[in-house]
Amino acid sequence: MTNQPRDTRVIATYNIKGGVGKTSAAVNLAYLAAAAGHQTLLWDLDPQAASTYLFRVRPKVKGGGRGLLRKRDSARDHIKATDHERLDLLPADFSYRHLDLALDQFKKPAARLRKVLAPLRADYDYIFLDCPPSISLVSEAVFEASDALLVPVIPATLSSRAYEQLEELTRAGKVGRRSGTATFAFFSMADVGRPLHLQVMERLRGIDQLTVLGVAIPTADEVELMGEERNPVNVFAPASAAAVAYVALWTEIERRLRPAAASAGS
Amino acid sequence: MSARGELFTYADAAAQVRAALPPSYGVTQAPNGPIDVRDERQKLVCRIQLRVLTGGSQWLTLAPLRGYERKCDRIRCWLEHGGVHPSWQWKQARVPMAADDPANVAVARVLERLLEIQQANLPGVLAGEDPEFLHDLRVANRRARTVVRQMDAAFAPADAARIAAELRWLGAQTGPTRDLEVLLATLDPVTAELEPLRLLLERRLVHARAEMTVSLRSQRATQLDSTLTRLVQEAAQRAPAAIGVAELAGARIRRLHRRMVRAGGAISAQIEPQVYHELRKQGKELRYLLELFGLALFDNTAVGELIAALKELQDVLGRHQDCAVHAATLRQLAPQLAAQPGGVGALLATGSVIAGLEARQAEAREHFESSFNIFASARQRKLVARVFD
Repeated sequence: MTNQPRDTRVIATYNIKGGVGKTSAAVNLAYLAAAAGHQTLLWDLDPQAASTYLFRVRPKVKGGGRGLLRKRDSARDHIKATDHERLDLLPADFSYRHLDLALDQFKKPAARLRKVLAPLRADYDYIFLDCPPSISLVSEAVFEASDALLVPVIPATLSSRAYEQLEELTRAGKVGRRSGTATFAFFSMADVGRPLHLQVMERLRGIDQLTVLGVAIPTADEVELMGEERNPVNVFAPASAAAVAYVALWTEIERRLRPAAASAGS
Repeated sequence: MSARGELFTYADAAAQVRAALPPSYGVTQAPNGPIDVRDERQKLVCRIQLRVLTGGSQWLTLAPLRGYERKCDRIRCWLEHGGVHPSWQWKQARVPMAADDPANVAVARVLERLLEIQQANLPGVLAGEDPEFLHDLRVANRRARTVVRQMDAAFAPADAARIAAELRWLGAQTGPTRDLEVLLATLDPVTAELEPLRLLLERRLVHARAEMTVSLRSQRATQLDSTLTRLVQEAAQRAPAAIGVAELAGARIRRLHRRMVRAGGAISAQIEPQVYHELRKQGKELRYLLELFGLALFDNTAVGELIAALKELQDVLGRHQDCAVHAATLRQLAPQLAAQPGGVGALLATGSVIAGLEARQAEAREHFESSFNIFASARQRKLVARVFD
């Protein structure tokens, strides 16, 4: 075995608002990254533990979030293999609801997650962070740790409001402060048959501050069925519109994150 | 992944696994695929690889998924309770015998068991997926050669020579592959500078494996088991049962111990590495005799104490020899390595590896005296005299 350093990319699925498709995106994209041959880790940071549930893993981390943050090398001990080749999971734990408080005890709380992730960079090509819906110290630590923020946006008025809030944060320098951090939005649960969705999509694509990816994930029963199947869409319905859209979304994200590799492969 | 664990079963493996596990566990198997074991959450926790061996018996290799090692240990326990024999039992070379059993009969029984183990590992060696199969085959082979050589009075000399020649042939076919596998494992983890060396060794390993596979698929190899079994049985029938097995084994153990004490006592700091190696080879033979005959026929506690002291000494001698062999191989590879892309950097890094091996070898020499003194102590010598006289 070789111990070659990896050019790891940390990708967080984030939105201030809940129920917009963060977990679905994190699970499906992480699965696709692993299926493409990359060593991939998904860290379920949301105490609701939806990603953990989808991979049938027990939502328990011994020592809780506090223990995980305290020792820089402890994350490795809690990693579980999923049922899919090359895809591992760092499970959620109910104690993550107090992760803000745990982070606050450190001198540089916003930098802590990055430090916890640092040793894992030797093991993984991609690390996905499935974030809880909030704007908090945890979010700041996520922004600091990530190379890319992926923001699912439902093209409806209320959801787009959350997107605009994120845009304000970006302008205030709270997001993307670290050099090289990219923020990509994409439309989630989009219904192109509905004029309102089309209008909102058009309006949001016009905002210069953030990059809106070309691919939209459609509203689809298959995405909801993930809870029943407890698998990524591409496992149980690979030909569905949602599965095809996730593949296209991953291709676009990877092209943006690794332009050299993408052009070499094309 | 945790260490390899094999289980041995004669029944249909998937059905046996299913029957051994609690009903909340799920067991599935794709055609010709591994057995997947799911826990009560229906989470995949362990994969069981199968390999069918001669006579329809199967090796089961349990591979836990990361984070589920303890669950896999529980599964292993359930399987053992369910009648699947763990490898340590399966690899058990000792056979029941009584002190006054005729030596030819007892030796033939031990050899047959060793041949069985050797043969059972052959499909795994040919599949080439797990180096442990080759290791186990070679241990069984070495043990059998020791038994033939040391328990010489059990068979007629001509019979013993024929059996030894066949066993030696198999050992020779598998040696180069095993040496390269061990050397590669020693280098792990490989730094970027050593990558050209790793690639060179990997290429040699592929070549060595290919040659070994051709040999092991040859007519001589495919008939080896039946040839050896026939030779052993014929030898046992022809040999005069003039001596009891305990008498013969006791005499040989005493002789080997005496020789080792003498040879080890003559070792000084400046002596050639080969002398340590010769002592190690004698030590291996002594250990095999103690394990195969000593434990079965004599005072178990005393034999256990002798084995423990010998093991310490063998560890030191083994470290010394492995370092010497690896360093010599790496030195031989230097010209070829220099010609590889990135070879100059690799050569420098290999120099550091060789220096590290030499340091470990020197360290082993330093430890030799203390471990040898325990092995050759008056207490141990008296124990040998008391137990085996």
